Amino acid sequence: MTSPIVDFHVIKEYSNFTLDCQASFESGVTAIFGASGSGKSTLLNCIAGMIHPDQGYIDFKGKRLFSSESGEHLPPEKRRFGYVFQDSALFPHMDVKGNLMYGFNLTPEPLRKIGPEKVADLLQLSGLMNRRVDNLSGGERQRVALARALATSPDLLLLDEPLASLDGGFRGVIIEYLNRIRRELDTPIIYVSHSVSEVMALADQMLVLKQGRPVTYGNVSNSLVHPGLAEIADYATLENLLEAEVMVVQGSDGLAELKIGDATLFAPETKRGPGEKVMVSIRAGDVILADEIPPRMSARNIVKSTVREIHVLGSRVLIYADIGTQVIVEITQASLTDLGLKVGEDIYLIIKTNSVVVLDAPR
Amino acid sequence: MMSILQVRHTVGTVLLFLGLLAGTSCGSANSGNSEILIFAATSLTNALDEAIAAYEARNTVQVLVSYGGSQTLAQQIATGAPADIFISAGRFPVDFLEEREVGMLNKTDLLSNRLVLVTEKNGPNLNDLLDLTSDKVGRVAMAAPDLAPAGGYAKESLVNLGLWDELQSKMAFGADVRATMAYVESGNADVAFVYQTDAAIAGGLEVIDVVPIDSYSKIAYPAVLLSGGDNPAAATEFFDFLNGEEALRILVNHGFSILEGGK
Amino acid sequence: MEILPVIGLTLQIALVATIIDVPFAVGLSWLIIKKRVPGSFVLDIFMSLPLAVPPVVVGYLLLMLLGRNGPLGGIIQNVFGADVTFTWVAAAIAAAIVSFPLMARTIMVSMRGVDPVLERSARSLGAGPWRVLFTITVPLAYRGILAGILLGFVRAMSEFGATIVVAGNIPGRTQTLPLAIFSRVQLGDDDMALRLVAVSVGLAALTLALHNWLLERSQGNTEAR
Repeated sequence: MTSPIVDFHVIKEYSNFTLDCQASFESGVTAIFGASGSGKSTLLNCIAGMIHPDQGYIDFKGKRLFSSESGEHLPPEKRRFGYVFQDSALFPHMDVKGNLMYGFNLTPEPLRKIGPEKVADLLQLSGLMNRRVDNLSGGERQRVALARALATSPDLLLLDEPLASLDGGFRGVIIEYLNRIRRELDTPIIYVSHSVSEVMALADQMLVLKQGRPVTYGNVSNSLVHPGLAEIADYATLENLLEAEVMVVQGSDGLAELKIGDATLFAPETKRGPGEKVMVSIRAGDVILADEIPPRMSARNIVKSTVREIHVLGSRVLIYADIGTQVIVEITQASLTDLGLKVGEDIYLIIKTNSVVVLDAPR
Repeated sequence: MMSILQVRHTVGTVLLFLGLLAGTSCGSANSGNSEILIFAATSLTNALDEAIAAYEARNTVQVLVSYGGSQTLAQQIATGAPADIFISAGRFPVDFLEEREVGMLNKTDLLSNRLVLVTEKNGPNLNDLLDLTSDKVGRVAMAAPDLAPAGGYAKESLVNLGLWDELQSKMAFGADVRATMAYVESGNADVAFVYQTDAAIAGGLEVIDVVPIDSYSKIAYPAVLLSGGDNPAAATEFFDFLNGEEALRILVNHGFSILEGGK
Repeated sequence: MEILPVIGLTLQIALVATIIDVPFAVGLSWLIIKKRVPGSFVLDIFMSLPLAVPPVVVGYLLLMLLGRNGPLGGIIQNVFGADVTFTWVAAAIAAAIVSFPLMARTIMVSMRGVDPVLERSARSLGAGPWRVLFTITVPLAYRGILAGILLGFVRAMSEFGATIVVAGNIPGRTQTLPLAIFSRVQLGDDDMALRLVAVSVGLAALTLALHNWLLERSQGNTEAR
């Protein structure tokens, strides 16, 4: 186990609820997951320095940021954490460039690891630089907010439900960019969300909060099936948010062909060109399992996969299937019994074309 | 967008500006010998302004006057206003200063005034105060006796003449002499008790001189040379000028009279 | 009497009063609305008091404070060797205090309209509290702040009660438009009084028109966000 990035124990009392949480976050992307009112945003604000905990301590890479005992409290502007808010919080009196440069100019020169050009390039903002921020789409706003935070070369990126105010297509686009940030920059990320699907798509570890208390902390796959999470998460709406590459924009049958993992899937259409990356959403409940290829049927996507894990959560069952990337399938207990599934066996995933939703809003 | 540096610069400029302003004001107040400050009853405004103009024409001293209600002025002096001379309408405000042990270098009964009646030009024909009780007079206005000395004198006169009780139902009280006169001007009263000096500057009203001079106490305008002023030497000189012949002549021209046995 | 010097003096006193008020109004609004310092509730009430008490009371308190027998007046006497009371500086101080609540309360409303998330965002980008005030809060609230300044200015121009007590009614020195009008009415000089009233109404209407225009634009700006 590597040394922790963020190590803390914070207690913050409010009239109607108390946050009392101790954890150590490792590098990579850590999700803080919980229902609204669980205290996840409060926790993030404590880490950012916006909220002063009543008791406890917060360490970042061994450096003390806050301690109720010694009275230490490093103000937020000195913590060097990028913070992206749900509604992007762009400065309306500046253009895109002004927003981008605000934090960059305040970053001491020796600490500048990434310039505004690189950030603009990474988030493809070059064409937007002179635009007023109130003329931007939701997705563009969130990209500018991300770029603005990244331009300070932050030691840690804090994201507070950055997808919550975006509709489906834009969500996919921002997830693409977040994945790109993850790959290209070595910045640890703390990601607050109430969507299991987003957490699965983006996070390495997750902390589950319930009424201000931690329920579980660990890698996402394990935490997802933790009994404590079952009470909070709505598995019926669980989506697989998967990265895909466009193979054919419009084939002979009028459908788009996408490569996901090792498999090729048909989708109704895509606005992206061949070779481009795009996010795809497939609901866990929309996938049908079959132990052999049915002779005739309407669904076009039949993919062979290997069962990696089986989790029974009350009446629902989650199957982790491997098609070169992980796909979660949700079935009933009765179906599990009928199929007699076992870990390590092969099984066919049957997915209707219309269930492969391409999240390809304009970037 | 303003940088912090610019903001500091702006704040600095503002402070500098304020400093300069304060400097000029203190400078002028400091240059002592050229300025004296008089507190005077409002009713003296025109008369005193003329007297001061005559004085300033021959002297380098600048005479500043703050006009107001006499009791208000007395209150300000008692609280520490830097006045050199106080000219009050009525004795009471000066009595008040003496009670508060405000230092005085000299005190004279500078002027007197008289009560008169005013009516509209085509108002009721009055031969003496007894006519106020007749049917040709509707409402009678005077300054409220508790608020303004003019009202006090009017009430005193009516009480002495035995008319007060009878006229009670016809009375309307104004806050001061000006307000009282406005009742007649606007037609809300047929007749009003006012000072002769006020009647003199109000055009369009008929002045009826029927209030017996011995039916009320002598109306005095005491002048006081205060010891707390910034400029006692210049103030003393002007105080003497005020009590001199030239100044008194100007004041009398404005309708004031000189108190018999004053000075 | 001449009207122009009276207008000049009135504008000078109102302008200085406004200049005195602005840093305090912005600073206190910031402390109360944004920093929420302990005691904000009491501070808010205290700074609004001049709006609630009669100006004459403000005048007498100032006279007691700044008069030569007063605690501050004594110090000023010793330092400058001069009186503050019954000078135009006293008139400016009186106007500043009486007009302060109107200015500060308008600025407070405009600052409250600035989304705290924007300010927190700026903090996370490395800006300290002061920089946030001057680069985020003030620029976003500036129309409301300007409107508050104008409202304070118009109130300072019309100040009477406190001024006449602490600065007297001295032509050429402390006699502003309202005091000149009062004097002329007292003297029955209705003609001059009406001319002064016309000037006073004109100046006030002009300032208020500017104020309303700014406020309307300020609301439009908030809606667009």
